[in-house]
Amino acid sequence: MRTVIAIIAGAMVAALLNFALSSQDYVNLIWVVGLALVIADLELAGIVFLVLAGFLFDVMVLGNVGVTSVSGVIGAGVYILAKGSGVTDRAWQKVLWVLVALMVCFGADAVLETLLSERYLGIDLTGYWIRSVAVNAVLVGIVYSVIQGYSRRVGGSTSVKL
Amino acid sequence: MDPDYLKTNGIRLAVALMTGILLILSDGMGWIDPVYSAGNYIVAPIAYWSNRTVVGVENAVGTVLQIGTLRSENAELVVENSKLRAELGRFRETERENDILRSQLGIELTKDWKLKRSRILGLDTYGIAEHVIIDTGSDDGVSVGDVVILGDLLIGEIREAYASTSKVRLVSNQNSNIFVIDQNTRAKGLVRGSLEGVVMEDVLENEQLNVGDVIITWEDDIPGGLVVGTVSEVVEVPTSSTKKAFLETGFSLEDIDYVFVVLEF
Repeated sequence: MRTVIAIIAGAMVAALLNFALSSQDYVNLIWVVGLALVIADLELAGIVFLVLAGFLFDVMVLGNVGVTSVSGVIGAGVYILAKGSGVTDRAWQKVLWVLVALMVCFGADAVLETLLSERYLGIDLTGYWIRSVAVNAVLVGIVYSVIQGYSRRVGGSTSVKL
Repeated sequence: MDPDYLKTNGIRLAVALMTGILLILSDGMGWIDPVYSAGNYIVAPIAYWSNRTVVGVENAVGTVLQIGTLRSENAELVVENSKLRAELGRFRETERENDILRSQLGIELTKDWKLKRSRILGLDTYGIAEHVIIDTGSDDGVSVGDVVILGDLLIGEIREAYASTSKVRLVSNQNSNIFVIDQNTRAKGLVRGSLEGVVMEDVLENEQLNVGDVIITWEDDIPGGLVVGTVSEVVEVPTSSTKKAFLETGFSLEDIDYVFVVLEF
């Protein structure tokens, strides 16, 4: 029950903060936190968080509900696939696959947005994506470190008790 | 390879994806609209203040970082201000003459539009300023197609109106197509957004555009004479029969709290 409440509360806070951060370029806090949870072996929490926070965020921006969720889940899916294949054991591999997962998130988002609203048609967003992926990857690292630190302090194990 | 891990999380991902796709389909069917209204009614105040806080922190940090250049800019602004004061004096004199002429000709000003003051709740994401959300909706008489202004500046057009909130498509949106005219040279064109900024396109080769010219609206569907921006750069392509110009809108949405929806004009 505590975990469910924590995920709902976290999703609401992240969606609100992401809404506030929408005037600042590059950051997508929902994907950042969702991916960090997946990396920290909290896959279920990460997936539920991505769906819930994405839904709340899309409702706030009044547009294309479900797009942020689906894009985040696809990105997380790529990381989970890599993790299940055993290619994320080393630190540099983790970083590499976080970058790939974030690129997939932005790519899926662009495809879905284009299908739904022609938002990206005719626009070259390569530079924007590169900067966004870099900024968000750093944030994933920070959030992941916080989760790991909290895990060690509270549980003394690698898993986090939310 | 860990088949159990992949199987367990694969099922979770599939459920999550299906949920997301269902949400997208529900949105497409319009079933989410009541949720939009309710959600925005609840979170609007929180979203507004969190947005203002982020912008405030950014402004504070930016001010500290730019403090060196601010002094020289301030000195330049003092000079510019004195020039503008002199110009204002001349305009007042012209205004007085216009009033006299208007009263002599029996012509009344007709700019008594019905306006609705609206608060900006948030800007669009992804770094491309395409939409803003305002805190007035169909309950306040706002409807799709209404024009949003700030003073005489055109901000955008209502594209989606919910009960208590609305989505405004900005002039800088790449899909906006606004007929405009150069106030000085009377050159006509179309304004839309692009990644490089707001651009006035389809201006005939033989028409003249000058840097600093004021561009105003020129169509039937929206009030005419609204300022869209000033020309900052003219781009002429020798092989093309048209030319274009980049515009400075003269305002930053992040610094604006309120705008006005034109309900009737």
